[in-house]
Amino acid sequence: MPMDADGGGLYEAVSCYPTGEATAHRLAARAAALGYDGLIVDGGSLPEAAACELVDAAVLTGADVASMSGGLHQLRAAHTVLIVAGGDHARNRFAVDHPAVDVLVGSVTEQMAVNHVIVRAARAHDVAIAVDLGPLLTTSGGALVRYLRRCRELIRLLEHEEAPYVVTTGARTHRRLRAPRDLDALASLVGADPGWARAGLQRWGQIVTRNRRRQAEPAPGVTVEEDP
Amino acid sequence: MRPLPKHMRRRRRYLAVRLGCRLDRTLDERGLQRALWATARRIGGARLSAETELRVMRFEAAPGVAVALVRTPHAATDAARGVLAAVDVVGDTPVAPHVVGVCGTIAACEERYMNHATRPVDERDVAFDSHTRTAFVRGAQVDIVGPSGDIGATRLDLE
Repeated sequence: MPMDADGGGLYEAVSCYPTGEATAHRLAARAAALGYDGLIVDGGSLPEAAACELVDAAVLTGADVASMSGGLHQLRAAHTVLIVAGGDHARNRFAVDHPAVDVLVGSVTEQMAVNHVIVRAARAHDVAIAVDLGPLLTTSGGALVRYLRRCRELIRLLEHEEAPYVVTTGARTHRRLRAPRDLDALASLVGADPGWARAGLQRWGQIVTRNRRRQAEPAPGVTVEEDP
Repeated sequence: MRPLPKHMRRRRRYLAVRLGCRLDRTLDERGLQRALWATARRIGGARLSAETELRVMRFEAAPGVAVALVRTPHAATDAARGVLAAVDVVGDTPVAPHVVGVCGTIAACEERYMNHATRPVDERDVAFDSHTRTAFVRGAQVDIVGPSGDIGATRLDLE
């Protein structure tokens, strides 16, 4: 699939077996059929020859900020993409205040957990906030109404502050993956602009490209001297 | 009754949807139609359901995969695509929808997206994650019957 002009292929974030209910091979085969360039996978060891590119990721979870901050730098060094599971205001704030974090997920699971301060900090530290479209597929009635209200508020904040965001369905099986175009149409139904979801999927690609370049190059201020 | 003149007829689009499910299940047309209406109402209420007017016109199913042609008004094509993307279960079977194409006529859609022969599904015991499990196999796809729900795998994952 050709890369778009603004850089970054289409990526989705998934959990594979044993965390999820499908193996990395199966998820990759499905993603390739749907038109993705790659998958960002947490859990399990990544196979060599998959149907699309697989990127290793770690999800940092914890009951509170104190228990999470210990593991942060270790995970950062070991994985290409570092995702932090937020939820309440304190954990969201922790995630967006660390430039080492790539993505904050689950930021709207509690009411009033995201506000303009969090979104501004996310922009300042280049931490993307994930918008999870998964509940649109699975929930209904009151749960969907509550979710949509928070989700729309989050989208509004992100657009107002022009903060980085990523889009995902949080797939744990190959069946939960959706084609980029279908996701875009679904996001339009709940009030996002056309192309908004696609840009969110491309943002994953940009994060991967950026982190790979950082891993390959020495840190700023360090020079590599060639042996004569 | 005389048909409407051509320029006054309703313009429609036909979306070809490919639905994957567990290889030991076969979807049925009635169930899909119900799921489409239920999903449209779940996401956008009666208004979206009426606007998209989703109707299954053609349907063919084999174990693990089904292709349906879904009719929708021309103006509601994108909304219909969104509703189709939000379908997660048909009856009690989890499904994976993918809109593979859009056509202006049923005939064109049928020709392009339907009547593809599918290989039969094979049931056998496989070694996965150091256990012997029952699995349904077609081509490279392997659906393993796990201790808690099914596990999606491929031939490459078997030991």
